[in-house]
Amino acid sequence: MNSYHLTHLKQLEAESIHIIREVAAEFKKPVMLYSVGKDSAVMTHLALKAFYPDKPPFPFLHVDTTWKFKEMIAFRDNYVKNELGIELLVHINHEGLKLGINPFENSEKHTEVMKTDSLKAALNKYGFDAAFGGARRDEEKSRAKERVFSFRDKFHRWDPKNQRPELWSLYNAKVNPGESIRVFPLSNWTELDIWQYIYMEKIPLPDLYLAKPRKVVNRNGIWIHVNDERMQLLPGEVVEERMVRFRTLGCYPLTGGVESDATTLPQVIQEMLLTKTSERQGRVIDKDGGGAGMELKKIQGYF
Amino acid sequence: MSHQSDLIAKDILAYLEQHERKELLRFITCGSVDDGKSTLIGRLLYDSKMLYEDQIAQLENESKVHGTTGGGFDPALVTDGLRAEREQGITIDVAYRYFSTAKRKFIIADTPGHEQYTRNMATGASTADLAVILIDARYGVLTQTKRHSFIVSLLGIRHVVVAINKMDLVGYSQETFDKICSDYRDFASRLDLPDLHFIPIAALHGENLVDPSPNMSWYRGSTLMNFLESVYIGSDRNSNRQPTQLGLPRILWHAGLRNYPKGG
Ligand SMILES: Nc1nc2c(ncn2[C@@H]2O[C@H](COP(=O)(O)OP(=O)(O)OP(=O)(O)O)[C@@H](O)[C@H]2O)c(=O)[nH]1
Ligand SMILES: [Mg+2]
Repeated sequence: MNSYHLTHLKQLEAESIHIIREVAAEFKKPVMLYSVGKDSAVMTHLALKAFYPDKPPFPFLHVDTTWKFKEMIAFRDNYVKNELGIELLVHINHEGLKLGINPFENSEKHTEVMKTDSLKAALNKYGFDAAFGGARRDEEKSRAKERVFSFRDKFHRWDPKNQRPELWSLYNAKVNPGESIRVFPLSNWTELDIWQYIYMEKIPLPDLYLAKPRKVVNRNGIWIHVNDERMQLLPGEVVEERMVRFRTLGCYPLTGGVESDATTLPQVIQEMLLTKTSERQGRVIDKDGGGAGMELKKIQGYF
Repeated sequence: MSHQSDLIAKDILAYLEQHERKELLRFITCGSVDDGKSTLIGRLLYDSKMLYEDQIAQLENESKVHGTTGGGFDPALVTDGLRAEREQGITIDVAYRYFSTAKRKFIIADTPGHEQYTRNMATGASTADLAVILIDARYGVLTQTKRHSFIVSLLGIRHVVVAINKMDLVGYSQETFDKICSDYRDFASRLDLPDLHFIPIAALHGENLVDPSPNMSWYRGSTLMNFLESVYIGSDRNSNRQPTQLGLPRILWHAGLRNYPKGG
């Protein structure tokens, strides 16, 4: 390999930064969807690099279901908003709250109302024409099929059977009023790429990704964290203290932790590389709707 | 799991250091409808142990419902992820898959063979360094094989592996293989395909993908995986993307040029 040859991470970084700049240049009103997880952390880092020393020329939007781990909210406010000084919008579906929607009684309904509908309402409210998301193609089989610039009609729907051509690194930014594009700058990154980049670039993360003793209950084989007093226990469930960490972050009642001794980043990476199950296994929402769950959600306008 | 190395367990920091330096090879599978492109990718990932247990369990269940292999594990379902694709047993749009070996990191684009979705094939091909063009050994070079080869040549993909597939259905015949190779060479002489290779395979059974096939001992070349790991791609245009220039956009931005020249 000669010195001109870029390592794969440098190539991925360059590609993502190119995409982020394209969007800033081509769209009237872009927004970065920020979900506090590791992919968002990498996207934030790339957005900062893309315009350094300026701040990214678009706001970040967090669709808060009000059921996120409290550590996520603290990290969002202390680090992203205060320390990095990024313009942060937080959107909560108050109608949903009034209806008493919660993740315990009906997780599908909760996701639909507090996440999908809420996201659509927020995008409509501000009139964003492009929204960055941190999804990766290696996460799930319908995401593996999605373009980097993913067109959405005015109801935010994805049409998997009629995607636009996307040649080289030329991205089609044409939309009519009301239509929009979801942009996935991390499309070609894998879970390992994300971790390795976080490690190399020393990107800060919520400590939920590292194992420590946490109060958990075992529900259908996965460890659910008792993150606050709203946790509803089912008959027979006992709270125990276990060394657990989380591979993905979301609503705490719907996010399974794994038992682990990994207290450093390299140990987390090591466990991830040796595990025999995929990262989305701990997610309750992917199991809703059977094998085509994610595709159906995307057709309805979920990320 | 999409990464295999003894170093992972022994010395994770050494592994990360090694992994950080890997080169990236982007390739596509293409060719006529039903010649086994998706099967090839699925099988390649399965044989190199790149699939997670929960994914395999799910695929085994789905094979019973949607499989085209009579209920047995259908490797094509690894990439045919859309409902419509599973229902119709064909690929509609490109699927991207990722894996790495000790030497390289790979991005695979599994493209559709159906004529109606040729533009989706072009989407996948535009970023590739290498193309695996499949041919069904029973039918030889077809119109769609030629169309895809033409697009590959037009887009400047320099490395081409013609994988003659379903060799099991032609009795692993060397004669059939040789005949198709020579037909393809005749046709390809009119295209710009400077680096052309031929491998006889049976994708469904994993023959000559990761492991050499005992049924085709007459073939002395490398397996597909061996080839992908060793083909030299260093100086190619498609794989040589420019490093990011920080700072430039800002200057242009401030100069009021929102549509600064596209990099990369
Ligand atoms: N006997 C045999 N059958 C094979 C082989 N490879 C693929 N097939 C079968 O051929 C059929 C088509 O395979 P696919 O992998 O879906 O073909 P494809 O090229 O991806 O098709 P499109 O993407 O729709 O163009 C399936 O039923 C496979 O099981 C092989 O090596 N031997
Ligand atoms: Mg296919």
